[in-house]
Amino acid sequence: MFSFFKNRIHESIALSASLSAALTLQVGWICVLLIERSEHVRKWFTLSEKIGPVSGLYLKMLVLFILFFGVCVLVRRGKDCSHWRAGVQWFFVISLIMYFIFTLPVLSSFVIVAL
Amino acid sequence: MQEIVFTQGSLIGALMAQAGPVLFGTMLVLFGGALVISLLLKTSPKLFHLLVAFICILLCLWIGVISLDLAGASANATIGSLAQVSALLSIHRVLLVPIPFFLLLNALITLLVYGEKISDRHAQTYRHSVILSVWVSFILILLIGFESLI
Repeated sequence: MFSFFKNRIHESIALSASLSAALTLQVGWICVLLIERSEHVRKWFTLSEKIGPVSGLYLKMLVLFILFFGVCVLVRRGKDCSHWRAGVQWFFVISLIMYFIFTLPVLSSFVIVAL
Repeated sequence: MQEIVFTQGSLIGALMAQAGPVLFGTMLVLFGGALVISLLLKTSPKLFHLLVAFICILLCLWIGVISLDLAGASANATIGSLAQVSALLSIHRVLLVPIPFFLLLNALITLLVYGEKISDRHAQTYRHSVILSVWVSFILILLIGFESLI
């Protein structure tokens, strides 16, 4: 029985990792823009006065990744994910590009570290 | 209780004084290995053990570098003609930090799930995802390094 589980590939876990990383990056750039535009959001993200809102941003992104990963694994556990494979990987690549573009200094110019 | 005192000019003392750059340099060296191994996954699937070890160490080193960087954040004013550019790039650098972390985490989980079967035909998408994660992480870490120099 154990060899059966050992030989089985849990694709849903690998897919959940990519999907949760992509969703975290999407939420990340939206948070970056919100921090810049709203004083209330900036205060909510500022966990350490010395570091600034980036302290909350890092922590919340990590918590979100764990949360998304847990939910995706629970939802897709034991199911066939082969038809989601390409879509999720493209979403992952697009999220990566979007996070990179929306955090460019031209778009986000708020002070996040005590300079 | 006796304090630990590093003798002047000792190698360990110099390394401890410049822990951030030392960790960053170690990361770049390990990335050199990880980049090559990621490309060899198709032909030598047994190398995934080595890549997993490399990624685990890289993740730990990255957390260390960021912790040291944030712990050393102080109210230093940038002066000169490049002051505004330097301030903007330091903000961009800090915002780029989560990307290599999540990319390496994604590559690690994918490798742990697929193991030696990462070289199989049906795992092609995930193998590409691992290669992309490792290479993009390396490029971003180089970018972060260059931005911190300005």
